[in-house]
Amino acid sequence: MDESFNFNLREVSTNTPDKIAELAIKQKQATEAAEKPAESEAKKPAIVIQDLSKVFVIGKEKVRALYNVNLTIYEDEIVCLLGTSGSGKSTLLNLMAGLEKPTKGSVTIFGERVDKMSERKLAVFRQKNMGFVFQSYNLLPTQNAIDNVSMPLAFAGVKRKVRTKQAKEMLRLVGLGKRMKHKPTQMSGGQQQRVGIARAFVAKPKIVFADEPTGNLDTRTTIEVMEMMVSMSRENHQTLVIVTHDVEIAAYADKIYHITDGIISAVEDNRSKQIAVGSTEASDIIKAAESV
Amino acid sequence: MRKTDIIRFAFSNFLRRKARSMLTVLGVVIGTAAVVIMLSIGIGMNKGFEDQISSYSNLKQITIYSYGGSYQYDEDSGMYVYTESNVVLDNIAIEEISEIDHVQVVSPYYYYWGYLIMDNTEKCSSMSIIGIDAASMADMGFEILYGRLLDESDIGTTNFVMTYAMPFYFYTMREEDEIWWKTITEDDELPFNPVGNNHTFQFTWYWSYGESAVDTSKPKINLIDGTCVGILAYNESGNYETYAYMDVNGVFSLALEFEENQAKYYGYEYTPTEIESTEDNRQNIYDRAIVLVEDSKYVQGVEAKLNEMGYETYSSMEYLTQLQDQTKFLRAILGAIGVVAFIVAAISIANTMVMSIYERTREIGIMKVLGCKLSDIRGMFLIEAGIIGAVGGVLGVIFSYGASTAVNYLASKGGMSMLGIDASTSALSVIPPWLDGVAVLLAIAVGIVSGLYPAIRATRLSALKAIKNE
Repeated sequence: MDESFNFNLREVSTNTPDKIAELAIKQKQATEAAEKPAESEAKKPAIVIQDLSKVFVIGKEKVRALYNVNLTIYEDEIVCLLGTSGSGKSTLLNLMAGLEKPTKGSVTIFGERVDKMSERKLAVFRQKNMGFVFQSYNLLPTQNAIDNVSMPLAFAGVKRKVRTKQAKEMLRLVGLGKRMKHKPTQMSGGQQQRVGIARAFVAKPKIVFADEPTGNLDTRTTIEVMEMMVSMSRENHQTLVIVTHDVEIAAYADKIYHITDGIISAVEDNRSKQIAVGSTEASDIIKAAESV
Repeated sequence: MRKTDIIRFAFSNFLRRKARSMLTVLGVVIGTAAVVIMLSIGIGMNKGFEDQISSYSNLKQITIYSYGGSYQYDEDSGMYVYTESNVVLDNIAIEEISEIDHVQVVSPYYYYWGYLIMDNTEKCSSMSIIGIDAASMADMGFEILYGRLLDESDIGTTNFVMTYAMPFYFYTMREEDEIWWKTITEDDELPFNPVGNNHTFQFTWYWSYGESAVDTSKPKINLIDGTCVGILAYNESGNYETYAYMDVNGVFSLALEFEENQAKYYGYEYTPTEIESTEDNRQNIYDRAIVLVEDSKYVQGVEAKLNEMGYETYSSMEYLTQLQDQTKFLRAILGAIGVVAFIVAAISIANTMVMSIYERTREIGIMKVLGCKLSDIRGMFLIEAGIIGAVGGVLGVIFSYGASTAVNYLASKGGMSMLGIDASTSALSVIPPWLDGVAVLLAIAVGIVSGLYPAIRATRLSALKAIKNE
């Protein structure tokens, strides 16, 4: 039994066949509309998802987490998967990263089938192409900031001297120049997440996945962390995939996929309304949040 | 990942939980020490037998006997029938034997009788003259007290070397009684030093020479001059031996003269003893042959070859092997105790590693998500288990030396003796250098083998499950 699902079981399992069919039509309309814009075709696709379904079997019951999802994420794009708890957004991210195998459909990243890869191949593929930012930071508690940040480089076989230098640079970039020798337990949540970001970006991966990166942070830190991630991925032309339930975070994305009950219910081109890094809108949000 | 980084990770994990690592290491220390000490007692036992036997005999020596023939059971007649041996000990045989691999020296061994007169006044009658190859005497392990051993210059001469006991057996002719038996210990002072110009020696065949009036009507009894060039050191087992060692050809010439003189004296026809052996007419000439092998480890092989050639042989090594075989069972039990301790240590390593995986589930998951290869994760765990084995093994060997010294000290102080081995002269527990290396390698191997299951388990952890595990 796989316990790794994290959505509301009752909500999904009450879907009747009729409702599913209805949802499917809705999803088709939503995704087809999103594929239309002519300017996306000029960019190269980074992640291509086709007919992706994931069904968890719990005892005798089958629970559908994702249903026939189709989407294409392009290079340099900042994408947000927005949905409530249990919508299937985290499952979608896990499938993209190859952490889980789909029940049906395919995940293709830079022309390679991630869903067909062996664990061994996936490890190397992740080293080269993927960075991760987690809600609970997932830093190694016994290692200091430098060692945590340089870890992906160590896995890739980079010499200790070289990787320590790169890790220090990265830590300076996220504003932790004075906390390099600190262990995670000696840092605040925001500082820990900045170490997490430094770790995700240090190896210059082409794609960075962020699963509720600000879930444990206050508003001010959330904005700081978001701006940091967005500006870094823009600078290095990286694809950033953010999973969140927070509409304010979604505002930083180029494109927002609304996920409901395992389908993409709407696709929103956010470029016109996007919050720019360092804009007054962000500081307004902080002010509003802190005045409460 | 680089090999050095994998080792670094393994080391930091080993050092991270010091208390548990140390307890596990302690298990390995005890296991290693148990194996080493148990084996060292077994080895000490063998060494004790060896010391004991080599104290009175040469372990590299094989003695060939020429019995001439033997009684064999004949199935047809249902009787034991004497069959002449078809192997003889002559110069051709000695030549053949010396060509066997790992044979260093072969010397004939020829028993002859005679009496030794000293300074015309004293006589030693309880003695034998033993003919050997003078040139090989040094190789045969004889230990000289005064003078020198026989060498090439003595070939064909009547120069001789006497055993330590011989000077005690001289008595004044006509005045004193003949000495038949005397117990001699190391502390007994030699009555005289036979080496040098202080004494003259003559051999004779006539047993009552100097005891009664000589019948002048009979031919003169001849005395043959001999020079004592050396006297052997005291040898515990040889204290009853009253031998004059002489070159075998010297003994032959002595024997021929004696026999001729004896025939004349008693007035019978003299037929010389055959001392020539040719390819067409092989004669058994020597009583024995002494074979010296390059090293005691070759003794059994050479002995088997000699037996194959039809010779009857004896070696102390054979006796030692029999003794050692008898204690094999005891040594096996000691070894088994050690092995049990090692198995317990192995289980404790496996347990520690499995526990450490439970503790580090999340960490392993993070590593996997960040792109750490499965082989690297496996490597980290195997190396950590190997480190536990190596540290435990080295400490265990060091501990064993201490324990071994203590055991030997206590045993020798308590005047303990085991299976006839005296603890005060030979160590009860002996750790040969190879055992150190083997023990450490074994500990490392046990560490890695017991780390195998936990390591494979670690790689099978679901990364997703692991990172969600908070």
